[in-house]
Amino acid sequence: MLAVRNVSKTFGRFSALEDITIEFDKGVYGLLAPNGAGKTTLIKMLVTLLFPTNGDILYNGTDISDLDEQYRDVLGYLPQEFGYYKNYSPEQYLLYLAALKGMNKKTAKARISELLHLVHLEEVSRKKMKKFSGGMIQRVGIAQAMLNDPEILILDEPTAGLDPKERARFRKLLTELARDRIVILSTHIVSDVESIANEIILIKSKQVLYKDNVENISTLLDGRIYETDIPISDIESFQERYTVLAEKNEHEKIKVRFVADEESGAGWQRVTPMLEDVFLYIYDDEGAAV
Amino acid sequence: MSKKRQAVPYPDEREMEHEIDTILSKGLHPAPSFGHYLLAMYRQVGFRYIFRDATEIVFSLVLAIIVLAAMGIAAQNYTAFPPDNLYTWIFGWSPALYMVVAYFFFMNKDHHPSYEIEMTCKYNVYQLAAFRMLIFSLAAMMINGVILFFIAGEYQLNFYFAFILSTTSLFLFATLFLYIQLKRNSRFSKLVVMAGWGVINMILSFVSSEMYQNILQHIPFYVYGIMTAGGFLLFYKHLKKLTMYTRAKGVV
Repeated sequence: MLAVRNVSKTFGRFSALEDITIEFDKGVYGLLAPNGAGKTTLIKMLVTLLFPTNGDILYNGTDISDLDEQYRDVLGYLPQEFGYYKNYSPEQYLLYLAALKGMNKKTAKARISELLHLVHLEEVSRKKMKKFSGGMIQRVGIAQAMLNDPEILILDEPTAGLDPKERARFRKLLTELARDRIVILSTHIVSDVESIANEIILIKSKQVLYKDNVENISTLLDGRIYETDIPISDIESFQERYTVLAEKNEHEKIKVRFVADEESGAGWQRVTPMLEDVFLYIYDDEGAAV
Repeated sequence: MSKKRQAVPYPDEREMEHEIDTILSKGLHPAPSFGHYLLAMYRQVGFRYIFRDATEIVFSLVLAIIVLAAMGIAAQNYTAFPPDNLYTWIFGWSPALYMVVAYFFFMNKDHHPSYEIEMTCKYNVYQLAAFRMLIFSLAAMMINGVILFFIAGEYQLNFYFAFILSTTSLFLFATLFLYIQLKRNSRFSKLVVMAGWGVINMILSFVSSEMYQNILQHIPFYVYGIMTAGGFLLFYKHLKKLTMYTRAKGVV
């Protein structure tokens, strides 16, 4: 089990995270927050690139900084900005990282071949990466994170640059992987985690606001989400009265999805809240926390 | 049913100590010595990947030798190059090659595109750096030795004295450089150490050339031996600290 206990992180006078306590067991965890909320700081602490100013991060009861290379040995990490050597082929690059991960060459070659097949890059395994598209590079990044068959897989914005088909394939892959390991996926794209995460962690105001499954988090807005059609001319006054979550032009009208605390109005249709509704409501500039 | 209590044999102090030792020896992995650790890393990662940037290293070394040679030739036009001042030069310039390679490594390490990923691997950038610095220092010692061998023939120097003087200087500088790297990880602090070493040695060799030369030449041979051994041990100790650098500070 990976446990974050009362962790705070400050950079000089700036406080990035305050008193974070989370526990991770096997499964997919979606770390969901807008950009700049402290997701990457938390991820960097989980992968030992940063250390907490206060508090501890423990893996199976031992501080990860004490575990040192034993911890890194069971870790797979894809950073938000995945860097690579342009003149290397995926095979060369993965062989290099496999050596740094302490894998022997024979095991590494077999694993690399398996992973490049898994991310559909086997045909370009010996081509230099400088000619690769963003999606292909991201798939190399995903492969390198899984190279040592890690017990803890941490992915920071992993679907950036992937097309919808690749995203779907990636989600399926993560679900399979999470059966026997911890997978932590940081994102600001709700659909990346909605269907696969066992738990969602929402961070707001430098603290963990919610850590629960998608269904329970969605019930936070139970009975308060509506959809209705309003004339285009009324949209501004409507926005002033209600928290509008989504708008869609339909003929002469606008179909709005919104949050209302009052009883249902004329023409309003109460709908089932989704995770995205909660996300948009919580992080709405003027919206208070639920 | 018999209510008679069964006697449980209770272990004595010695038995308890023995059992505790058995549990600890089976449960805890003994920490390998630093030498064994470096050797294990070398075996697992391999020379090819520890020195992934060997071409860049050779290029910067060749460039450094050309620049230093050009500076030496240019300096000959302005200052005499008396053979009796050579020991001063040897002491001052012996760390030059190590200086160039170490500086470029520590300057460039976090600009590698793959730095964050490499830092989260079992053997991270700083652990590889410890091995690299050890090899660089030994390589610099050997290259200095070869250069001194030719200079000694040309200028009638005591080769052994020149070599031990050069090695003392090399390990003193290498230790100082690592100490600063561990204490203050900034570009400025490293530049200050490098410039400081060069400037102090140049001032001493120009301003009070005779006195400096006398001090260097009158220190007994065995004192240099002790200083070299001490310098190397300190350097080795700092290399060990470098492998644990990220545990203490975090790196990003």
